[in-house]
Parts: sequence; structure tokens; C-alpha cells
Amino acid sequence: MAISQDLGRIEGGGGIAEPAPRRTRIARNAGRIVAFIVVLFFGSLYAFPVYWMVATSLKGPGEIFHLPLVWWPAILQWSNYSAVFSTFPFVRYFLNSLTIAVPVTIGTTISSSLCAYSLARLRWRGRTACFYLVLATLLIPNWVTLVPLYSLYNQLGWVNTYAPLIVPAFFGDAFSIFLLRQFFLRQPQELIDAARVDGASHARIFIQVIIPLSKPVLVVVALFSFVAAWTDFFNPLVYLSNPNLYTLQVGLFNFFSQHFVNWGGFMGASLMVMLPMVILFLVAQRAFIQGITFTGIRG
Amino acid sequence: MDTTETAPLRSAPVSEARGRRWRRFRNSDLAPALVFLSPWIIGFIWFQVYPICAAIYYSLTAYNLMRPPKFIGLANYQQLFGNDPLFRQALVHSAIYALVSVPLDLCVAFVFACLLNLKIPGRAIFRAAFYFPVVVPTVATSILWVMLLNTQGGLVNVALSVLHIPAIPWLTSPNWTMPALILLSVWTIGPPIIIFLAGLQDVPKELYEVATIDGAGPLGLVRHVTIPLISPVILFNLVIGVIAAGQIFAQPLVIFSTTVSNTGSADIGGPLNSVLMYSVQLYYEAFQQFNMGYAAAMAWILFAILAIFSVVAMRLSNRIVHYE
Amino acid sequence: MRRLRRRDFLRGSLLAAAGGVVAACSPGAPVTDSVEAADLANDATVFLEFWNPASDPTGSKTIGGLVDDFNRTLGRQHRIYVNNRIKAIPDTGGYVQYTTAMTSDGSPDVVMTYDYSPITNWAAYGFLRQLDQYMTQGMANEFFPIAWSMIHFNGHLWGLLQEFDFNQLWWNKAIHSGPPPKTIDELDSFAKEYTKVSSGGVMSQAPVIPWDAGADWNPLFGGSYYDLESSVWTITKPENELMLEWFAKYANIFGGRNRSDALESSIPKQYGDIFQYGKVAFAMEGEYTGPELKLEGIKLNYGVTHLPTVPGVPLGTAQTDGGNVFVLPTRAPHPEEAFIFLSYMGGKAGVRQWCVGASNNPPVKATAFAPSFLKELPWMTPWIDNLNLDHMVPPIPSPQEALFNQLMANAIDEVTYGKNTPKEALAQVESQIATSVKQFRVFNPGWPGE
Repeated sequence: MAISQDLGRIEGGGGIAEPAPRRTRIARNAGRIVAFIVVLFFGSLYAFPVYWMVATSLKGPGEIFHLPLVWWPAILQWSNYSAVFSTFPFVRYFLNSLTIAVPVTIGTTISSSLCAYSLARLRWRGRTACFYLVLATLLIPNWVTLVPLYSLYNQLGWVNTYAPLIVPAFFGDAFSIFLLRQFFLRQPQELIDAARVDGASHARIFIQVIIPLSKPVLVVVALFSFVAAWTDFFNPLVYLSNPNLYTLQVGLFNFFSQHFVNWGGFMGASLMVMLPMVILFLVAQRAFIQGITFTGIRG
Repeated sequence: MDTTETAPLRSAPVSEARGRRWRRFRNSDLAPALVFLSPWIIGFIWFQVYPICAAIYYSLTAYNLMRPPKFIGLANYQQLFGNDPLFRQALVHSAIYALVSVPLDLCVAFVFACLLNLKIPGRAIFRAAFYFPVVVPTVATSILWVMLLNTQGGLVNVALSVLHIPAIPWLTSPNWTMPALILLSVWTIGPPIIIFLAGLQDVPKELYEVATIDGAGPLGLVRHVTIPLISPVILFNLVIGVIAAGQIFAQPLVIFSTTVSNTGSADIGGPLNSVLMYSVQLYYEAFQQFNMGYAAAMAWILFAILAIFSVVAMRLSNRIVHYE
Repeated sequence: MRRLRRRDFLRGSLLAAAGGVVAACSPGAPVTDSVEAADLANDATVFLEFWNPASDPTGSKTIGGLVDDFNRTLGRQHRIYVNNRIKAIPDTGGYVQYTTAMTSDGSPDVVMTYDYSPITNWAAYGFLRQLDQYMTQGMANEFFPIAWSMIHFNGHLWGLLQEFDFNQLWWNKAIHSGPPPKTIDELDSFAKEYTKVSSGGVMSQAPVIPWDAGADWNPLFGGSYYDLESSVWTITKPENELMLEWFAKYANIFGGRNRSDALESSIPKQYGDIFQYGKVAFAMEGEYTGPELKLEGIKLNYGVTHLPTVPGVPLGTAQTDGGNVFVLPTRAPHPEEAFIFLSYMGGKAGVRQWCVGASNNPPVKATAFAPSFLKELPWMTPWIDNLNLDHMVPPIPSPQEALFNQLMANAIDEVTYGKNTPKEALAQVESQIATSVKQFRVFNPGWPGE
């Protein structure tokens, strides 16, 4: 226990054991400073377009395309944001998006991990073939299956409801299954065997052994499926035609109208659409770090 | 959580006794396996078998969406391979894009993931900064990039001018459109970074200790410990990356349809068709020209290429990739 | 540690899953949108699904107003209630969501487009109902011939037009102060003078960037890609090479197409074009450009006149680009009622309301020639003038049109980048169109022409 606590303080990558010789510690600190500078530089580069969105969302119309560039508006135009709320029902679309994304996240995570367990940890004939079949479903461009799927959903009476956007998530997602399987494969067989010999059922092994060990990857799967559902633009566009059911992405696109655009407002709206995912990501960060203590079980 | 179960587990060979016990119950796994897999099986039959079978059938027909398909055998495939310059162009462009952007993205993502795995101040914020681009709505992404890549006043070119590099016509010159798309792909590497990060958490720290004691420097640690141990993660990112890049659709269409002024939506391939991508051409066949049979044949060709790639990558990797 | 039995676990997770699905799938709103609709629901009211792309402020206001008017008046009278569904058209998806829905029996009843491009293909491939039975005597004469040919082709009426667009020659008075050119030669005489390229090769001003308007210049050179009389492609006609040669000439004057490309990427995109930013002397612009400038807050001193032509081609010739069209999908559940609504939207009052609101060309003569129209939209005078001259060229009503546009856009690129000769580029387009025509013929023998 003492060892794993000690190790818990050290991160992977450049981390080394303590107590370390003084020379190494200095080298390590210097390395961290260099790493920090590099990350600071590239992180700013990556985040810069987002900064530009923020700046644009607060600019007046004259400043947006002004040359030389206006780095930060002279007067902050908060009215761009109020324009968003007055042009489209932001709160309703927000709730609609949530109504889709939350069940999709739950459904994808649960169903995919069940399937991945079967494909990674149970021995049965045809397992590999089945795994390739799962993968193969990723390879078909959706343009070809769109029309047959639409007619299927239409026959089920699902068009203009959230069902075509939510229900499939409860039947496993190939990408998530792949992701989870790769990680389940790497968990120690001994733990499973031990539990098996103790008479544990597969359900118990799955819940008590596999799931706790896989927290980081579950967080990743949940995050990815939430982001995918939240940013999905095309499917809501195809399956929803009642404006009361529209999602944020569809609403945003309508806002970005065909003949004339309120650019500051559009960037503001885009930022507000992004915000929940940014918050979610920062929260999920924590889960990653907590995940490390879980992997401490294996050192 | 006793210490005996921690450190040595990964490397210890499965004991003889355990092997026997394993063999004894391995055959009983089929029933639970099917139960666990049942969500996918049901979903596969319900939501995928029908549309996929339909797609197979369409590829052998002339089908225009409204009228019943007419069976024409392999004529669509013959036409594609025989006399369709647009198909060939699109195939080449998508292949170039996938072969350049995916390895590049993975290298960049791996480096950033290693750096973001170090204990540096504000790490959570930096991780978020690299992930931001993924959650920017597509419409906003295209507008942003058209703004950033302008030759006059575009920020990328402003930055280049500081380095005394003349402005690059990223979006209008046929020679620069592909690099522009690859640049955009390097900007959106949030998902592979996260997957790498999740993988890096699983690298046991004691291996670093051992290697450090053996005198390995930081690069040596990465080369001899990190890379072998997260090789399954690299494989995963590679396969998923190539599948996604092979199907790239929205970015080229959105960016280049906004850069043309009056020639309108017909100019889907960018200047001189320099970034006419496979999925874009497939979409155009299916929904602009209503050649659904032809588009389905294109889909199966893409399917075959990506499937062969995935299988080969995974077979080859059995030798290279390190599973415990 | 609590023992969890497998059956309990599975039941629990399935229930949770099912609960989530049910909760999430029940639609948040009833089928109809308003209280008024609910009042009607008891009697035998027919509910129509009307899909349109009018997500922009002007469009949504006008369309929404028209639908409300219909529901209050004619709709009440005929027991029809129209649900107004705004389905915006993304750059990435064309009319995919319309096309997909139209293949199923959940098809919308009435579809409106902002573009002409999907119409001929929808018609050729059986997506649209022919409206011949609703045609009234003398209906053809109420429309401008050019407008009529956009909705009545291959012997059938396919929809109603709300407005249609075509370009004129606009000139920037800050660059060009004299009278506008009437011929292509006159236009060319300003080419060198108005081309401004710095010593470093950076272009800051162009006389005209011809390929911006694509193949719309072709009729001005006497060219034609399609013979309307016989419904046959005429891509390799020698006259068609003239426009491409002219394009190549301008690419040379600029010192390579990449110079004008750089100029074009120097302005904020999706926010007006290069002419609106005052960087070119002449450009083809549509009737909607004036109000657009106003909305964008751009001040430009401009003039509008007929497009210049080569000798032998009459002044007033112009290629029609598109228009807003109302159509009835083949699988529309309520065609009779849908036509009542469609003819209201495409009728005189509806057309007028749209054209005045959005500043577009009315397809109906009575509306365009009514004195009140020009009184409200005085800047439309050159367009009404053009319509009077009657030398307009309609879009190509061929199922190959989408493919042709794609191929032609590339042919123009090839010629202007100096990768191909006009003759060779056209021959390539011709050969691919011929293949496509052959394929189409085999499977759609009922469609006249190619």
C-alpha cells in the first residue's frame, strides 16, 4: 500500500522514482520547465482560434473584418449575446440537446462496455470474426445507408422524434466497443481467473473487477459519445422537422442564415454551444486524474 | 488490494495450474458471451444488416432512389474502374490525405500527450486547450479557418510574415489546398491526445524507475518504455484515424464551398479539383446526381480498401504491438 | 461486499436503458405547433407539412407571414392547416434532408427550394408530381417565357416559381467613371488599365474576374451548352470555346490565375464578394446585391447596366441562375390540399409579397409590370427592363445538369490555370456527359431528350 501511495504522486511519462539523486531532480525540474514552455506555446496556438471567436463575439460590426486586425474590441459589445437569446430559443434547444446527449452517453457507455467485455474477456468460437464484424460497421459511409435507414425509422414512426438519435446508442457503438476492448484486453487475466475460481459470475467480474479498473477509458468513451451527440448536426437535420425539437447545432445553423449574418452574435452563439462541452471536459479531467489512483492497484 | 497483486502481475507468466483451470471453463463462455454481446447483436440486425444488405444490392443495380432498382450486375464497378476520372482523382486525394495526415497527427498528438502527462502547472487547462478545436461547431470552424488562412490579413499568413515567409494562398491555389486541409487536421487532434493520455496512465511507474536506474534519459524512457507499452493505443489511433481520414467529408466541402464566390456548390473539389475527396464525390453521386447504385459501389470499394488496411495493420501489429 | 446477482444486474440495466429510451423519445411537443391548430384538430382538418429553407430573417418573416395568412383565410375555408417547417440547407448537405424524406411515405406535402439546381433532377428521377391537371388556360402567358420554361419543361408543369435571379453588369464608379461598356471588346479595353499588380506580384485591383461568374458568360459570346428545342447537349459547339479563351486571356493579363485568387482570398468570405469590397471595376451581380450591401453596411458607388456581348448577340442576354420553386413531392400524402396551398404561395399575392420583401424578380408579368412594384423597388428597373427585352437564357433542364456543373467548374479551372486548352477541356466534359446520358437513357427511357 505504501508503495502505491508513493507512486501515486508521480506521473507517468518523465516521472521517476523517489527518492532520487539531487542531480536527477534538478534535471527533472529543468525538463518540466522546458515542457511547460513548449506546452504553453503550442497550447496558446491551439486555443488561439477560440480566443479569436471570443474576441469576435464582442466586437462591433466595423471591427470584425478590420485591417489591421483588431486584437481586442475597444468597447465590448455584450449586445451580441443578447441578440442570440432574442433570435433563437437558446434554452429550449439547449434542453433538447441535453435530452438527446445524456441518454446517448449512458446508453453507449453501458452497452458498449458489455459488448467489449464479451469480445475481450470471454472465450468463444467466432469471437475474432465477430470483432472484425463490429469494426467493419465503421467502414460504411453513411450516405449509402441513409435512405434505407430513414425508411426503416419512418416505418417505426420514429421520424420527428428523438428515437433515431437515441435508441441506436443503446445497442453498442463500434468505435466505443473497439476502444473498450483494447483496454479490457490489457487487464490482468489473473484477477479474472482468481475471481472465476472463487465462483464469481461474469456479471460480477464485469462489475467488480473490469469496470473499476477501466474508469479512465469509460470516462473517455462517455466523453466522446457526449461530444458526438452534442456536435451532431446532420442527423437532427435529417430526422427532426418540428422546430420545437431542434437541437442547438440545428438552431445555430439556422442562426447562421443564408443572406445576412450577425457575425459577433454567431460567434457568441457558437461559444455558448461549446460551453457545456468545455465544462464537461474540465470535469472529466478530474476523472482522468482520479483514474490514476485506480491504476495504482497495479502499481 | 494487497501488494502481492500489484507489481509483478503484468509480466508474470500464467501459471500451469491457472492455465488448466482456464481451459476447464473456457468452453462454457459462449452463453454469457452472447448475453453480453446481445445489445450489439440486436442493434446490428435491427439497424445495420438491413441498410448494409440494401447497400450491397444497390451496388449491383441502377437505382435512383424513387424508382425500384434495376439489376445490372457488375456494371457499376466496371464503369468506376474503366472510365471515371473523378473517381480516380477522389481516390488518390483521399489516399494522400490519409497517408500524410494520420501519421503526422499521431506523432504530434503523441508528443503533446507525453508533455501533457507531465506534472506541469495548469495541466487541466492545457489539456482543454488542445481539446477545444474538436468541440467548435463545424460551421464556425469553416468560417474561422477561412478567416485565419486569408492571404491578406489572415492570422496564419501574418505569423508567416514575421518569419519573412511570403503569404501562402492556402485556399485558392491548387498546390496549397491539401496542405491547408492537413493543417486543419493537425489542429483537431483532441481525440487521439485523449486516447494517448488514457493509455499513458496505464504505463506502470516502476518500469520507469527500473529504466532510469539503468541510466535511460527522458527520450530513452519514451523509446524503450512508453512506446512499447502503449503500442496497442498507437494501433488503435492509427486504425481509427485512417478510417476517419478515408471518409473525410465535411471539412473540405464546407471550407471550399465557402471560398468560391459565384461558381457555387458545383465546385465541390476546390480549385482544379485539388481536394476532391472520396466521400464528397460519393455524396455527390448519391444525392446530387441520384446515382445511388453507383455511389453504393463506391462505398463498397472504400469499404474494401479500409477493411484490407485495418486487417493488415492488425495482423502486422501482432508482431510489433506489445500485449501482456 | 454486496453480492450482485447476474439476473438482477441485467434486469436493472435493461430497465434503466428502457426508461432512458422511453423518457427521451417521447416528443417534447404535439404534432402541431399552435393553439389555433389545436382548435382545428377536432374537425376533418388536413394538416400539411411545408418544408422550406427560409432560415434568414427576411425569408422567414415573409414565408411565415404567408403561411399564417393562408391558415387564417383559404386554409380555414378548405379545412387545411399548414405546419411551417424551416429546414435550412447546409453547405455540406445540399437538399439531402429533403430528398431523403421525399423517398419515404413520410414525405412533406409541399417543398420550397432556394435553388433551382435540385428541380430538374427531382423531376427526371420521379420525385415530383406533374401538375398538368392543375394548369389553367393562358397560365403560360401570365409568366415571363423564361420563368415559364423553368417550371414547364419536357412537356410538363413541375412547380411554381416565386422569384428568379439573373445577373447584370455592375460597375464600381470609384474605379470606372465613364459610361459602362456595351460590348466585350469595350470591356476588354479597360483590362490593362484597371489591373493593379505591385512589383512583388501582389494584385490589389482587377478590371473583372470573369470566372467568378462561372459559365454564366457563355451566352454573351453566343455559346450554348444545351439545345432547348431538341433537348440535346451541345457542349463542343465552337462558340463555347470563346468564353474559355476569353477567361484564359484574363488569366494572362493578371500574370496567372493565382494572383487573382490571392486577391479574392483577401476579403472576408461569406460576407459579400470581391466587387462589394471595391476591388474590381466590373462584375456580374444579381438583383439581391443592392439590399445585401445595405444589410452589410457597405458603402459603394455603383452603376448597373446590361451585360456586354459580342457582336451578333443582342443586349439584354443573360443566363438565369435560379429561383425559389414550390413543388409537390410524388409521395406527398395530401396532393389536392397541397396544391391549394402551393398555388396560394406561388400566386400573385404571394409572389408580390416575397419579391418586394426580398428584392427579387417576379416571374409573373402582372406583378413585375405593376407600377407599384417599381415604385417600391426603384433599383429593380434594369431587371424589369431586361425582362422586357426577352433574351434571357434558362437553366439547363437536363438530368445531367448537376454533373455538368461539376465538370464545367473544373474545366474552367483547367483552362484558367493553363493546364488545358478550351477545346480539349470541353471535349472532356462532353465525353463524360455522353457516358452519363447513355446510362440515364437505359434506365429512364420515358424521359424525352438528354
